[in-house]
Amino acid sequence: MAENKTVSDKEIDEILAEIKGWNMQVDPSEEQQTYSHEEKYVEDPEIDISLKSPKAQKLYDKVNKLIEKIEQEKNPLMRHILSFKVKMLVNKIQRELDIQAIRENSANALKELKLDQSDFENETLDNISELSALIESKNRQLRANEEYDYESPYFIYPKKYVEKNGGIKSLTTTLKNSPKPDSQNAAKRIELASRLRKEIDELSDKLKEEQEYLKASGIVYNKEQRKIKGQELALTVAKKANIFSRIGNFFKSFGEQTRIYFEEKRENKAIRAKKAKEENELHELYLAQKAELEEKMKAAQSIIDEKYKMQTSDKQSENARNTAKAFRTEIFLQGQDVMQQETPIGKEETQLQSQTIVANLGEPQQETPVQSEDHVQGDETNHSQGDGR
Amino acid sequence: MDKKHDEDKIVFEKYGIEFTDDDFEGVDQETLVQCKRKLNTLLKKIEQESNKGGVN
Repeated sequence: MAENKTVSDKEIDEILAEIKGWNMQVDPSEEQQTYSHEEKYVEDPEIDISLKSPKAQKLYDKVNKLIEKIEQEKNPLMRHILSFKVKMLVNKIQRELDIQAIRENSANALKELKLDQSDFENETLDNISELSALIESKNRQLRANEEYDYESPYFIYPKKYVEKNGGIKSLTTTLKNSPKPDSQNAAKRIELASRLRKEIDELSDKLKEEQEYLKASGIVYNKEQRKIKGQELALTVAKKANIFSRIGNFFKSFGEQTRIYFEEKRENKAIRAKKAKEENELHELYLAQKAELEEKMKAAQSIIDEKYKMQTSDKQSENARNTAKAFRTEIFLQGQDVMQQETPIGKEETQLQSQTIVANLGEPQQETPVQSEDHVQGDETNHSQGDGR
Repeated sequence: MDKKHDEDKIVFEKYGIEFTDDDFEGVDQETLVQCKRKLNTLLKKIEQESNKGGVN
């Protein structure tokens, strides 16, 4: 009673808060299962939790923290109430353990099932081998007696006769009853062939059955596998076809580009030919103009020589000769410049220079007789004709 | 938070500790066994105290 008095209102509130929302429908059997007074609690050495996953570590830490807090709880009533929640927690852990055990068992069961399936398949494969060998052996025996096999085309007795006389059984009976040993032997061999054929049919049925088992298991005799392989092959072919298509496209593109290249080249060639032709024409024009200019220079030289030939007596005339010589040199240099110019622009300059030379030549010519002036004018006319060309 | 999740939760409000199903899922067996043993030891202690002192 004394302990009850020590419980304060605050503690009661805390207890009520803990009880609030508490699921009171705890299965008593479950409780008994997980917590019993008779159960012996021996604290095992702790496992190395550091090796566990972070989640495991987190849970372990949380549980330790809870235990520590509850142990520090001084209020015995609170501790008692909390113990119920701890029991719930233990139950939860137990459920998780059970689930894990079930999962483990299921995995083991599946494993065993797989092993069983494998055994079954191996057994079936053995059966198929055995049955095939048996069928082959019996087929050999049958072939050795094919003359007595009613189903064989090599049956020695006419089938129509046999059919008319009561069938193969009747024939066998007749032969058996015959006193001749050969006929009796024939009857035996007919029976053997018949028996072998029956056995072969039975074994073939069994073989088909075994093959069906395997087909169901999905190992061999699987048309689906062939189908998938066929699909894979088709895919591979499609992929290859795609590659060929790409190669084809590449060559197509390459051919197109080559065609464009040669077309451009051909066009360039035509342009170059045209250009060369034009250049050639210009060069010819240049040569003609050059020749014309040379003629003019020669004419100018002859006029100068003629003009100053008469003034050789006095000193003045000597000076005049020197001046004329200098003038002639200048004209010669101008002519050389013209010779060196090969462009159409140079051609125009040549024309201008020739006009200048003629104009310069005209100055001293004013003192010369009219005959010379006429000659120069004639040159100018020729020059204008040359431009027109 | 949905109702189901609330039901699955064990809350120790005074200590601000709560346990949900997610805390246990994927945790290895050894850790779970260890936690269970520790909690059972605590319960044993509380039980013994109750038997000694008596809580009315």
